[in-house]
Order: sequence, then structure tokens, then C-alpha cells
Amino acid sequence: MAPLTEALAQCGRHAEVLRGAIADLPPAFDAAAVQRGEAALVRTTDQFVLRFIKLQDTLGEHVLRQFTADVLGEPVADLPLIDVLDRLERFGYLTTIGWLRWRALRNSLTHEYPEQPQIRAALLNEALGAAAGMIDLLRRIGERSAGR
Amino acid sequence: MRLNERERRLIREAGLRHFGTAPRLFGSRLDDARAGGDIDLLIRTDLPPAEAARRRLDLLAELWLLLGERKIDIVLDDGSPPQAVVARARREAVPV
Repeated sequence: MAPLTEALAQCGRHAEVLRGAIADLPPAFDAAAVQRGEAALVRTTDQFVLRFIKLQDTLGEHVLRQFTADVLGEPVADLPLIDVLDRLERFGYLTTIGWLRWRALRNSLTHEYPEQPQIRAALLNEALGAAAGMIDLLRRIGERSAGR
Repeated sequence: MRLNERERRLIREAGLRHFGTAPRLFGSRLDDARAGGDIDLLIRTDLPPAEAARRRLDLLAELWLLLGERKIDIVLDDGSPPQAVVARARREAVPV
């Protein structure tokens, strides 16, 4: 299987589990619930965070450059990621600053912030929005890849 | 301080845009005898914690856009009794 196809399939699995976790989460996190840490919420939140990170990592490491080169035909094989993002922005797939903000969020989610449930809840709520954005990005990349 | 004038200006301006204050530098980048290392920034803010956390994401993303995706750590100081890292940063930090 071609590397991009395999990477997209892997992203698809992450997105499927991510959607499942989101379906079991409240529409928004609140600090009180985060602080209470009820077992079911913790389990589903951990699943959500894990798959968010995996999807962000796999897109960033194995999809964006390959897609930009193989499907969009841009000569990005040896360019820094910032240049790959710039190309994708020009084609309307994402904004560079938006992707970098998802990356910053991904890094922040690895911290539990045990003494600061308001911060943890705010970051999880940001991640709910970002997850929808990443899943949509994956869909558009997948559709374009399939149609080439 | 191991940041060039361009880097210092970009960091100052980005901090002012997102937090209304210029970040302060602490950590290994203050040591001229060393090489490389993270860029450790301290920002004093009275913003509500959730809003501060969101702006921290905005600032970090902008700094990556301006400086490249380097290891940048942004520590927020709300003036409350500090954790160890904030206490250390308060002692060491200098304006960029």
C-alpha cells in the first residue's frame, strides 16, 4: 500500500475512535466536572486526548507533506514543514497559524494541570473544536486523494 | 542573552499583541556560555485562567510562525503563590 494511502487509513482509524469518544463526552467540559474526575468521564476524556494527539501527529508527520507532493504536485519533499503548510494554505486546505495552534494545543493536552481544572477544561473545549477541524481536514484530503 | 535583536523584537511584539505585556526571558537562554536550548518565557497576566490558556496557544502558534517551530515554553504568572517553575522564573527573568 502506498505510504499516503496507509497514512490516510491510519488517520481514518484515529478519527473514527475520536468521533466515538466525542459522542460520549458532554458538549462542553466544565471545570467542576473535570475537578471531580468521575471515572467514566476520565476514561472517555483520556481516549479523546489520546486519539486527538495521534491524529495530529499522523497528519503532521505522514500525510501533509506526502499529500502536498504526491496529490497537489508541489515540490516540497525537502522543504521545512512551514513551507508545506504555506502550500496547503494557498490551496485552501488549512491556515498555517491554525495548524500551528492545533500543534500547540496538542502539546498542552499532554499536561494534566491537576491544580487548575479551569485551564484543563478550557483546553479540552478547545480540543473539541480542533478535533472537528482536523476530522474535516482529513475528509477533504481523503476526497482529493481519491479523486486524483 | 542568547536571542538576537530580531528574535527579541518579535517576541516582545507578539507578547504585547496577545497579553498586553512583553514576555520576560528566563532559563538557559540567559547564559551566554551555553548553546542552543529552549526559549523559556514568563508572562505576568491577570486574565482569567481559561482565557490566559487560550491566549497562550495563540502566542505560541504565532511565535512558531515567526521563529520556526522551536522548543518554546511559555509560563503564565497570575501572581498567586507560585509553583517551583514560576518561582524560579520570577527570580531569573529579564525583559526580552
